[in-house]
Amino acid sequence: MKLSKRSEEFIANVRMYLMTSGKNEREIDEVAEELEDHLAELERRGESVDRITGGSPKEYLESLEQEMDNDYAGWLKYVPAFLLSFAAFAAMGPAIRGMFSLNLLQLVGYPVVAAVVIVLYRAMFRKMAAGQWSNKKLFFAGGGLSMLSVLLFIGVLLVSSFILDPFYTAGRTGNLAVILLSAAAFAAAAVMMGSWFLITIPVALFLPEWLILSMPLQEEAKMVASAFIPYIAVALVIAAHLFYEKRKVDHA
Amino acid sequence: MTTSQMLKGVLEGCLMAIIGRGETYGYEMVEKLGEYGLTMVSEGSIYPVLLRMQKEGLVMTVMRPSPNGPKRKYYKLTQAGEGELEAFRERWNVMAGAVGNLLEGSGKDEAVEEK
Repeated sequence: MKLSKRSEEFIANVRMYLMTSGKNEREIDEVAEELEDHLAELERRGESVDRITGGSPKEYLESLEQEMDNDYAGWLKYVPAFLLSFAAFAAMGPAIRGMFSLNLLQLVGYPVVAAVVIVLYRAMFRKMAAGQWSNKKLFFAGGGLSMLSVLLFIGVLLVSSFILDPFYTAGRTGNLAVILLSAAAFAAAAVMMGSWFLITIPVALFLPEWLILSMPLQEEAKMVASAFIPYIAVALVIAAHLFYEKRKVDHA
Repeated sequence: MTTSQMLKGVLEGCLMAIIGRGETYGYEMVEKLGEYGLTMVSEGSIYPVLLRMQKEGLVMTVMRPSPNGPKRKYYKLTQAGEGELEAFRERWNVMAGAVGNLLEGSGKDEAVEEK
């Protein structure tokens, strides 16, 4: 039996909340399955998820959180994958444009920004899961937060290049090496996370740009094309992914 | 204090008693509790308690297919669980007797104060 949208969202929120509090993955799965079964029974009798939470999802999630074991080690295995893809994201764009360089302030600033961004996202996901947010609220909070993270990165990039000279500026081979290393880092991260979806985003973002820049076009055409096409490609990839996931669910 | 709040404190004991009558699963436990007049505002509160009982070795679980599709987790009392249920029963009897006496006696106290 398929659950109502509201119940599905509740289960997703339970998973999200417990994941962001570092609980054991297997335990999360078990609890989620039990709740799904319970919800299916409730819905058959015309009742809703409110019977489970007593009307306060936040309190209910906290009571689950209290009883479950923390498994930070289990989640720690994702840290290298995250760092790799993060570094690759930061490095690949400039390298494709043939202007990869690095200064000391960036070397310190990027990891700090990355840490801040992780903390903010975690806080947002927890608030979202406990508060059963509307799509509109999620859109604005998520959009605002991703804009803020981009701004922080650009801030580090600009401020540091005003203050410091780079200690490394890549030449032709250097840029190519950075591109290849970044690609390898994305692949390694995808293997570690066991998800190839993650690698399709950087491919969609960077491959078109690389192709456009290496084509024999006029400079303006290149600029315009590389400003739009990568984002269209990313949107297409995400849409394809959502479509694929939905079909998988419908067939299940 | 509502019944639901009072039930919270003795939920573990009640769940052990239900599971002690034969293998059962989450939703069915809530139904059976309801048959005894023990209703809960938040039915989901049994799951954190079940998790704790599982960790304390009072219950063991087995996954079986359910008519709903997803696998269903069935609970059974372990030997430790049987022992704990017996201990709970004794504690409850003492407690119920004591509270009963207290409530019976409270009428008298009020009468004394009124004089």
